[in-house]
Amino acid sequence: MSYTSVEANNKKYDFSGVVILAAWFVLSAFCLFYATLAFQYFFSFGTGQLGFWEQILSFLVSSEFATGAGSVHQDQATPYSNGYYFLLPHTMFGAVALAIGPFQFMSFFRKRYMKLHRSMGKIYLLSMMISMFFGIAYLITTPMGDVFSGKPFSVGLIGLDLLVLFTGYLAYVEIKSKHVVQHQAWMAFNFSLIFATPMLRILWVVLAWVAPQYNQAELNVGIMTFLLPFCLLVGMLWYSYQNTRVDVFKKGGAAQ
Amino acid sequence: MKNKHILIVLALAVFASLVVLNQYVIRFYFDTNLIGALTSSEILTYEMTNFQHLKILYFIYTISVCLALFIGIFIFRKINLLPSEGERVISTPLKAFIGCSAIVALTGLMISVSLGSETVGQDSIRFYWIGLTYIMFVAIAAISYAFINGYTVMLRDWIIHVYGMLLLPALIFPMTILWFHTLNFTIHEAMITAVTISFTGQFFISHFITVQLLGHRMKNN
Repeated sequence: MSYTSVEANNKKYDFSGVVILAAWFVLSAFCLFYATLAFQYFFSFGTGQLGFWEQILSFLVSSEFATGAGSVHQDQATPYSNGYYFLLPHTMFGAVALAIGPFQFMSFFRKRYMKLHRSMGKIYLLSMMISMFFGIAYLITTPMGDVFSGKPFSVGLIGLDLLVLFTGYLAYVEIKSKHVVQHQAWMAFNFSLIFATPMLRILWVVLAWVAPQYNQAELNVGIMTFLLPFCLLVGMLWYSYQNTRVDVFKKGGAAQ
Repeated sequence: MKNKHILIVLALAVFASLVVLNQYVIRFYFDTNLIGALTSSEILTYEMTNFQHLKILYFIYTISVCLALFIGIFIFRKINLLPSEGERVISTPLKAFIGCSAIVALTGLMISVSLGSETVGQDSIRFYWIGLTYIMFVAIAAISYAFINGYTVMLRDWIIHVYGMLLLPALIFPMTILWFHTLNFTIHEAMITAVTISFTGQFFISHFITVQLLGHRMKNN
């Protein structure tokens, strides 16, 4: 069967657009929801109260998992107090980037409100940069062993912060050179990395249901091994769907 | 892909094959374990017992990795022929590549589950294999989708992503040694850090290759 006929046949049953739109709605709603939780987390920590997130985690899993031995609440009380002035801006600006991000990937929004897309993009990049700088400052000033889940997570977080900064820079350079496809590719990568924060919490909940023998710290270090590729997979599938479903070789495009 | 790219991929494939061959087969017969000196004798004995029981699984894993790596090179060489005349040339090796990659993910997961928490990296490595298997299968689905629909660039990109995952052992074992010595980690911490950094780094490198080096400026929307 030739490619043309296969493609025509498949188009009749192609629901991928609807699936992607539905996935986008779910993802955006969750990003907005988690952004508010992240924004609030260190304010309540400063006043010595449980954050909304910890209350939700207690409800979804158990109070032992959310605040007991091996939890962020218990293990990180001292390191978080010591690094409070790094972590507060880190989460606040990270929440801004997380809330803005999903809207930037909506093609309808991008095409119709280009000026707004650019302004929001600048706010996103600035928030992301500030958040990452404070994140790195916290990790540098905190002994590796004191970071939640220990040394591997500490190294992983430093790597994540640096990668977010670098891919944000690449995305900025590409759009300055008017390379829209490359810009989208790097923004998809960048936002996937930012999305790792809420995704980690989702996986905590899901895996705590599936494997209740582990506490938060143990699950955290296990999830960390595949978390970023797991999120990047979503970003790269989006990018592929948007930009690479074209046979450029046949049409004599720039690919080589 | 250009010849210089193919040569680089060939060198990586040879190195990765040797690492996998050594770590999953040869080291159980000769004293060639890359991280053997860093780990305990209990772990080494346990791994040897596991190998004796599941020898066939270790052999299938090793053969599949090597086959997929070298079939991948053939596909990279012919991928520019797609769609039209390339369909005939690429169809069989692509199916073999997909099959071998799927076997790699499944057998790797089975080995990891059978080893349990008694091996280097402990429980976290099982999480890694579950994640890797899932990601590998989604990437394979993307390859199949691209091939069926004749989306050449998408096909090339996802083959590169899967290929990157096949090269992971070549990154993980040397990096474990690096982390162990540079930051005074335990062998478990070193392995978990190496796995985490390599897995993410591999995605960054393969994305960088597809977006920046190979390039496909198809549209300006």
